[in-house]
Amino acid sequence: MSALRQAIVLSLAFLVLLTLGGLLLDDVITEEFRAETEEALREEYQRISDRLTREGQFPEDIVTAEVFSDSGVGYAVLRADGKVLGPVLRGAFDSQGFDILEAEALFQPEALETLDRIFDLIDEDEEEEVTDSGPAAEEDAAGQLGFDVAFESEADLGWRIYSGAVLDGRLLVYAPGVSAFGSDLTSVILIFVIILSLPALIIGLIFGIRAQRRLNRIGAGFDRIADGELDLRLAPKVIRDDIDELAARIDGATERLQASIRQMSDFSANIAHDLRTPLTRLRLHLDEADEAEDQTAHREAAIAQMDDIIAIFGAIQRIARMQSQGRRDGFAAVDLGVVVDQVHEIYEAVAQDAGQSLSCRITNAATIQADRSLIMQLLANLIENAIRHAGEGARIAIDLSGSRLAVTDDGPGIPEAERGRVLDPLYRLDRSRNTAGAGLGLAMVKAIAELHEAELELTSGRGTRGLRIELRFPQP
Amino acid sequence: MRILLLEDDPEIGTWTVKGLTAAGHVVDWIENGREALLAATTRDYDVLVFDRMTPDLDGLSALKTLRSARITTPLILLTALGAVEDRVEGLEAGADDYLSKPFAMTELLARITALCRRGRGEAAETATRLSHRGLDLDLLSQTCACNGTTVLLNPKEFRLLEVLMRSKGRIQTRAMLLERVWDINFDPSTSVVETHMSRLRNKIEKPFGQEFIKTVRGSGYMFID
Repeated sequence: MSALRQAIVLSLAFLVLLTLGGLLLDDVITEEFRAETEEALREEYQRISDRLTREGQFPEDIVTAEVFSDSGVGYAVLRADGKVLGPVLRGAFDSQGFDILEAEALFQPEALETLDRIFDLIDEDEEEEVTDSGPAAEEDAAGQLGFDVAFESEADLGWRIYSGAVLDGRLLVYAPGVSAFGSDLTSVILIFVIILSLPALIIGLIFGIRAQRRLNRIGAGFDRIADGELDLRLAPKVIRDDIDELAARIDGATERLQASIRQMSDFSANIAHDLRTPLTRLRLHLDEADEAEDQTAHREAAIAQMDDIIAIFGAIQRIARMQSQGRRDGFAAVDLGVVVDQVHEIYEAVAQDAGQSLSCRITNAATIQADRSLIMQLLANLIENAIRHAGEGARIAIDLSGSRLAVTDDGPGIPEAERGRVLDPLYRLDRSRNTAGAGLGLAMVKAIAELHEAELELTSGRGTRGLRIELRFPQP
Repeated sequence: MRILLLEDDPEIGTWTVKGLTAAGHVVDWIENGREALLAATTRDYDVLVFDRMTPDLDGLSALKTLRSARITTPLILLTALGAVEDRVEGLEAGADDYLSKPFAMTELLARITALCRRGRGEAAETATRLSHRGLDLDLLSQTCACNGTTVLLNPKEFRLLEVLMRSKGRIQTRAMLLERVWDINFDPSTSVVETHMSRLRNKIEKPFGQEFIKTVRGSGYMFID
């Protein structure tokens, strides 16, 4: 169930990240808002203070409309005689490092005198007090208020105040703050997260269940394959994601496994067939030896049959060893020219005795990383294969050019359709022919070539006749 | 010769002891590696024949221990694994020869004899001239003469004759010749040895009506002493 769990965990993680992102956004927006409000206040302050300075005195009356303009920015004036024109505020603090000022201090000129500017933000949790404080302040400083400002309606907002000394009094400019907006944003984000969490979880669940199902299907398929159902394919029709990719790879692996198991079982069947013949003959000779007067001939024939059996086993063992790979440790620099020369020298006479000819041409012999004795065996097997199958009078040629090694004969060759299969262990073109061990020569060649990462290619020899087996060793 | 045989299979052991004894050797047969190692270090043997896979301590490890103790008694390793790399591993561990199972008794006997000669330096590897019954082999000039008449041999024929003459009177099996003359460690499916042997005989025997080499049926060849 891990895929499902993962999907749910991912959905939850997504929600948490969304919340965090929202809060961060809230913070940034609040900060931006604050900066903008402050800028507006500063401008407004400048405008009014310029006007007051120009007129040379504080006005006796301030028109309400001027106090609360459309922008929501207002101002209050504190005159030198202590008269306040404007609203009452509870708390004041400075967001840019200035001192905190109690609301009451706004109405004490001496206190204000010590400050250049005051910013104030009334926190939303104090809004009750603000509404309360309105009338309270009215009481406290009733005589000092020039006029009443309907503060209640704006009380749920925080306020920002910009203040400074103008003429012989003080000027305060204020505007609705951002904390209320900020708190709204926070709750909006939280509400959104809560609303989003359900669909997010549902989507996570759906994807999780889907992924889980697909994985379960692959798992179940794998179990069936392991139980021997090698025909089974997980077969994704379209590769859309990694899971499909995985399924396709499992299919590929199963296919190769199936092929190798099929080859193995063919191999076993062929071994059984190949061993049956010498074993039957062996049995015959032993049976006859009992009755014969001179047992020597039968004994020797029996030993010859045994030798065949041993040779078959030996070759099978070697091929199995090589196919299991991992024995490249014994590799060393091998001059292919020397090996070809040596093998040519050994087999020239053998070919002659078989009524054939073996020629050899070497150009630019390469030196490769290889196991010398295996390369010798590979070439020997190729030549022996040609000697055995090309027929009398055949011309066999070894051709080494760089790291390309080819053995060509002009015998009957191999039909194109069969060429791939002759490299399989124990495969024989002519199943009725009974030459012990002969089926292993080319399989050994293939195994050795694979070990050396050489490309192996079977083509027809000269024209359409004959067989050419070419090996291309990797360049050092 | 005194031979120590390490072999855990009772049937193969019995058969090997019988074969070696029949050839006139004295055989101590031990079935486990540890005891064989002890025997090889405390008693004096001419040849050791160790099976590679044995209980307690395998033949290969016993061999390595012996060689690290500077005991250089010639040793033949027997194994069911015939692959080249096993062979190389065995020889690198200090084995003097290597024989894969199943083997013919004549093969084992031939190898034991060859090993002992080599061990005692009788093969006179340093000799520059081999002569016997009118056949002269000059190893320096790589020339061969029979009764004073020069015989032209190609290098491999020369090497083949040299190997046979150096071990005159002893059987050289097909496998031994393949290894020593042609450097082939596998069993060719064609008559490589027979072909070259018949060519050599055509050159040194036919023209002179003399027989130097004897075919030992089922085992190999021997230069007649």
